[in-house]
Parts: sequence; C-alpha cells; structure tokens
Amino acid sequence: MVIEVRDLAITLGEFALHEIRMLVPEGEYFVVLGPTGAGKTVLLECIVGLHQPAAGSVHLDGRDVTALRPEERNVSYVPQDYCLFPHMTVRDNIAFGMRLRHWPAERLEQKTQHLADLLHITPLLARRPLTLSGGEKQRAALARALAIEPRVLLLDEPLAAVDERTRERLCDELKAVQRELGTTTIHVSHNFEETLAVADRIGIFHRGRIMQVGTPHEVFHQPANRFVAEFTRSENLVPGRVVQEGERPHFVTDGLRLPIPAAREGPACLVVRPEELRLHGPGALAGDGRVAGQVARTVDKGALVKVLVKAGEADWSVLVPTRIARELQLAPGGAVVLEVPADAIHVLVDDEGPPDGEGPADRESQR
Amino acid sequence: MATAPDAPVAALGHRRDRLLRAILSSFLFAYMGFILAVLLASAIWLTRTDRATGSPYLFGLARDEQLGGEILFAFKLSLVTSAITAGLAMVIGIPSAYALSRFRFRALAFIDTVIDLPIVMPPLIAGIALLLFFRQTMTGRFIEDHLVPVVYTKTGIVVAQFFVASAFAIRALKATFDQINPRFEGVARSLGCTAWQALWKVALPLARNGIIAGLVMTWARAMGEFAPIMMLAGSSPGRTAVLSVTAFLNMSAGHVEASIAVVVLMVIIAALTLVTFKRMGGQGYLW
Repeated sequence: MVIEVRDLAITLGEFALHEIRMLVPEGEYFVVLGPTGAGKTVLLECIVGLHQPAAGSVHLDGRDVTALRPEERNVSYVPQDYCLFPHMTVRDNIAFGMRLRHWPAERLEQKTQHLADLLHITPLLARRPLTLSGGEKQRAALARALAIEPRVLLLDEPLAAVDERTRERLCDELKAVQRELGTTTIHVSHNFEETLAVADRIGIFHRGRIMQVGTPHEVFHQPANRFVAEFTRSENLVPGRVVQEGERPHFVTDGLRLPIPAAREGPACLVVRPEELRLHGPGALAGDGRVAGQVARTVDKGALVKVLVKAGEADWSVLVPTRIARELQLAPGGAVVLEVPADAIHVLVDDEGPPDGEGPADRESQR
Repeated sequence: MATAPDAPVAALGHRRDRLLRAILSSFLFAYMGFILAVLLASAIWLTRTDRATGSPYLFGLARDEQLGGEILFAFKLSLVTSAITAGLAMVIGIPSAYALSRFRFRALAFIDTVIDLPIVMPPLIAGIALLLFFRQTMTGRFIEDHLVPVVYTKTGIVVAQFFVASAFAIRALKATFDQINPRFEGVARSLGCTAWQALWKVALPLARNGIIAGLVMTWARAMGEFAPIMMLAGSSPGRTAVLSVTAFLNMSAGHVEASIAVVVLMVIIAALTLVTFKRMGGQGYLW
C-alpha cells in the first residue's frame, strides 16, 4: 500500500501541521523523526482518520481517503500508550478487529496463534493488559494492530515506554515482522538509534513541517538545512564561502581552505559529522584537508572520546575511539592535526536555517 | 479503571515533627468526632426507654402501626421514586456527559454553568421554580392537563428529584469519561468500529464502574431530596410524603422518635452509598 500525503494542513490546539507532503512506497518502513511537540502524532492521526485536515489530502494506493472514516480505511494504529482495552484479555484484544469483520472462528484462531507466535506472546493470551510489562503491552498492541491485516501500520513512539535493552530487541523484531508481512509502516520516533535500526527512509519533522526526507545516510550525512544538520547532531557547522579556485570549488574561511565536491559559489555552511573527522599527532600536516589545531577539552563517552578541537579559527567536535585518543595522548592544550576527509564534507549553500515557506519539502526524494 | 492520583506524602514521619502532626491532626479528628457524636446520638437515643410505654423507643415505634406504617410507606416510596429518578438521570446523564467530555462546544462555559445551577441553587428555590413552571406556564399547564399530572403527585416526586439529581449524574459521569483516554475509541475505530460501536464496545465498558458509582450517588441524592419535593409533590402522609418529608412532618407534630428513626435509616443509607461509590472509584462532585 502506497501512502501519500498531499499538502496536508491542520491546526489542533497547540499543534499545527503545514504543507505536509510525503510519499511512502509499498512495503517501506518509514520513520518520522523529530523533537517532541513537532506534530508527529497529529500526522499519524490524520492518516488513521481521527482528524479531518483543514487542507490537503491523504491517499492510499492512489485513492483519496481523506473523507473516509477511520473504520473504512483499514489502517492500523498503535498509539504511544498502546491503549490495549483493559476490560478484555490479550486474546480478546487481538481478536477485537477480526470479530468486527465477522471472520470465521477458524481463521480468527489461526491468525491469533500466528501473531502470538511471531511476537512471542502466546503465554500472555489469557492475561489482562494491566498485568503486562511495557514490552509485553507493546507486542500485544502490535498483534492487535496486525490481526486485521491492515494495509498500513502506524506506530506512535512504539518503544518510548520500554527500557533500553528491550528496545534494542524490539527494534529488531519490529523490523523483522514488518519484513515478513510487508506492511507499509510509518513509525514515529524521537530516538536516533531506534530510527537507524528500523528505517528504510526517514522524514525529519520540525514544528509541523517536514524538513527533509531521505535514506538514513542522506539525512545524517547530507542534511538539507541547518535544522536537520543540528538535529541529527552533525555538530560541526562552520560558516564560510564557496569559491571556485582553479579546477575545483573550495570552501574557504579565514583559517580554512578545503577542496569540496561541486557546489555553487557564495556564502555557505560546512557540515561534518564528528565521527567522520580524524585526528593525527602534531606535524602530520601532509595531505588534503589537514589543518593544525589544539585540543580544548576531552569528554569521555564510554567507547568513544569526544575531543573539542580549535583548528583553522573554528571549533570542532571530533569523536574518536577511546584507544586512538589514548595513543594520541590527547590532553587540553596539546597540539593535534585535524583531518577533514573530502568525502565527509557536506556543504549547505546559502543556508538560512529552517525556512518558513517551501523549500525543504521540495527536496523530498520521490522514489 | 480510574486509579486515584498518588496522595502527597509529606515527610512528617520524623520524630521531631510529631508536635506539628499532632496539632494539625487534632483539627481533623475534632471535626470527625463532632460528626460521629451527632450521628451516634440519634442511634443511641432510639434505644432509650420511653417512659410512656416502658420499652425502648425503637420497639414502641415498631409496634405503632400508624407511625411505623407511615415510615415504612415513606421508605418504600423513597426507594421506588429515587430508583426511577436514578435510572432517568442515567438516561439523560450518560449521553450528556459523554458529549460534554468528547465534543467541543462553542458556549462551553454557558453550558457548564447551566448544568451546574441545579447543584448550586438552594433546593427550596428549585422547588418553588418547579411549582411555578408546572402551574403558571403554558408548557407546564399543557403537561399537567394533557400528558401527566405532576403537581402534588408521585410523578412530582420524581420530577423534583430528577431536576437536581441529573446535574449530579452528569458531573459524576463526565469525570468518568474524562478519565478515559479518547485514543481508546480512536484505536477501536481504526480496528473497524463505527462511532457507535466504539462507544458501545469500548467507552461504555471502560466507564462501567464510574457509571455504577454515579448511579448509586444519584440514587442517594434523590433519596435525600427534601425541599423541592415538599414544594412540587406536597407532603401528604401515605401519598406523597417521602422519607425526608416524613421526618420533617413528624418532627413538627411532636413524634420525635419517628423522625429520629428516619434519621438513623438515612444515615445508614448514606454510609452504604459512600462506601459503594468509593469502591467503584467514583469521580466528580459528591453533592
């Protein structure tokens, strides 16, 4: 089932969506990623049919369903708090939608068993939802949503209420179940690891607008604008200019001159993820994209060390493996050489932060 | 369904805070003692020996066919009328409360005020207004003459109770529906429920305990109604005098033991009601 949202706009209390345009192809696992309060839930509820948009439309397989009631859409929805019906057992919760469809008992039984096996909740079928743990509720709610063989599955922060370890396991399972059933899925999240673990493509949401749509690599390495760059923690945003010098364009600031891939001349912003930067010992200046600098501070992040470096009159944040940091004997005030690899550089031309009008949504890749 | 919000537990357990704790609690217990003393006095009084007969008042009352019969009749009348009222209040209250809880209304403040008026206005005033409505207005007269006589009839008892009790029912039920996340219905819709089915299969079952609590509370409220019934249905013993009216009549006629018996009866009913209400996790205004 292809989900298409066209120029959707709605205002609900303090939440508003503006000109939402997105296309989720058949069988894709699409993650809507954004900070809390971005209007992600409202978007899902518009696709379910719980809200009537003020403008725009929702299409399923090319058919305009904007005027259809939720029960006419066959879109399953797992809200953030799961909303398992507390007055029914898990089994009855799962059977709820199938009973409404008057499926024969045999099919109903088969489906329940299949989903219970798939999600490892067979021992829970006779229990009441109030007695389940967060992860168990999540599986039960997922089973209930999948039981009706929905054309589309919408998950609102499905892993927000489970602990870190359960989340990792559930991520894998979610993805595996979605792969097996091939249900087109939109998953709302504010968690990066969760998003990277499941997403085929990501839509970055901010203040009711889509800032960028793309594969995880595109969104994280080629942010479309300053907001996406900052939100995805591309911590190094260096303002400067793109200048054509000889054969190649260069990115130039007062203290830097870096060759870059093709880009339009003019004011621009250099974006590099901290884990893409490299550090070398002092003196290793030979080679492209190397610049001498000084360590300002180091922050231990466990497996990695975050090194704050001052180089080329700019502040850089570099993530290096703990072992490398030890070998380089990084200490505040120490001299280092920073390498900005050419393939890690992304240039935002003429970026003025998140624009108010169109722009980011136009960059949406229409696969 | 509804769980009480966690009560704030202040760190007053410390030994040196004992004095504060004792002083504050003493106010609480003093008032509690006052209530219990007043109520117990009535119960104890009934067991006192009546000098005229030489046996406790309670026994005398049980043997007195006239007075005992009057109280029994009033008790039955109260039970039946308030049960009907509670049922009617649910018929009005469940849809109203659901609508108030789920739909957005333009003049919400106005609606809220009107619905709360019967709770806040003095009961006697409600009674007078009711009497005026049925006696002096075209609509009221039409109902009286062509549909069902209300003034000074048993129907009047129900109407008087209903006027006030329904407002309580709506309050209690709205609080119940407010506690139920509308997403439950949203999920039900996505799974294939029509709006009606979502109400019937999800919202109402989830509200079940709240509805029972509201029903009991509304019933108790109707049971205790006095002034509006006096005004609209009158106070003819054996016809329209409900329990509370009987207590009043006997008090003025000097049959103190009869009205005290009613007092004890009604306190017991009130206590049972409260226990049921709380057990069911009742929400909203009590009175």
